Amino acid sequence: MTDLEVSARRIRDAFDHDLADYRAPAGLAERARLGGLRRARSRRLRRWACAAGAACAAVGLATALTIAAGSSARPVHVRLAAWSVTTNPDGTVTFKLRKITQPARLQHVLAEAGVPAMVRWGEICLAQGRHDLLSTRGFVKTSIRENTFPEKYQPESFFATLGGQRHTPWLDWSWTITPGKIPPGGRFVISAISPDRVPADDIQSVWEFVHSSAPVACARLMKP
Amino acid sequence: MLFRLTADPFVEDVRMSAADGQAFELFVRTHATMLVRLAGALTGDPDVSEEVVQSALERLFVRWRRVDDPLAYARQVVVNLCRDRGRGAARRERAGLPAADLAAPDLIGVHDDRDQLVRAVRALPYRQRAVVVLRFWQDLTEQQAADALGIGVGTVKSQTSRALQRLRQLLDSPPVQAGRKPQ
Repeated sequence: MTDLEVSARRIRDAFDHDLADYRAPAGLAERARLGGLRRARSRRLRRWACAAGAACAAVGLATALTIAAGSSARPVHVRLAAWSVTTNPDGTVTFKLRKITQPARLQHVLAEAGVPAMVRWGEICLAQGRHDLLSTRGFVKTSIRENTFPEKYQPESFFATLGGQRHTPWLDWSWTITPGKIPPGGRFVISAISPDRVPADDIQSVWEFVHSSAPVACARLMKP
Repeated sequence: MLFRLTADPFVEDVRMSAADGQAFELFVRTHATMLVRLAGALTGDPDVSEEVVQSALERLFVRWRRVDDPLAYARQVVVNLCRDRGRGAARRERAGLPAADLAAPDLIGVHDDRDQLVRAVRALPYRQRAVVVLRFWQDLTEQQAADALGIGVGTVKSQTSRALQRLRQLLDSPPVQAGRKPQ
């Protein structure tokens, strides 16, 4: 037996003994998966921020079109096949979205219900920095069909999804929002593109909650 | 304004198929404890080890489809992150803040030879420590250890030699004899 083999055996024995209590924590795979998605999304956002730079000219207009909500909130009951906004008896607002049609009307109805939002259809809109994304904890509950959106929502910051779903071409989102708890100065940015316009595996729809003053860039996609 | 965004390989990677997802889960189930122990061997801190491994697995997750050898990749990331943690600890120490327990070994009160040896290994400079852990505890080949550390095989050999020499000095024991357990 060589000197090296003796050393190896001693070291192996010592570390086996020392590390016996070290174990992978439960749920590590799930946390790694979510953390990985956060990393990926952060990177995508940076890419979008660059790619959509030329679209920043639209930011001013987009901001101006956003309807401020809050004090003017009133009960709303609008049900379309594509989307619905309903004020519940407890003051919360249930917003269901299958497809963005009549985006201006949707934005207006949400504002009337006390939910400040910028709604865009046919283009993807993103805040220009992750620091602009705000927590929705405490005033948003969501229901996103798991098999539709591989990227789970992240209640600490924002909701987002990837597009190009061939088998489930339309959205199936449902949120219950408490308007009275929405932080002043925040607004939702909701945008989507028809799935048939989106290259497979690209962003199809995005939902974010951001500062109203945060620059938001919108860009259209073209199917290659 | 229209612009074209072609299929993004990075996004494709993240959108795992169900089979990929299961493979990733299986990988974590199979190797995570070993990776936590590798990080533990390098840092001596269970909490840091878990953080490092989670971070490594996050990186592996987003590159799952592009990585040929997930275990080698994860091992390499763990080794790099542990090194970065050590550098952070050194910086904190220089700034007068509490540093991780990576300094010279306190051999007082150790329970037995094994504790003494582990502490001595952790007191080695990082590259020597990593070489010892990868070669002797993980039982990697010189080439595998070189890949994990991003260095050449020759450097692994020289670092191994220096590490063993330093260990003997730290442990204040005579060179081990072939076939005989050192005193």
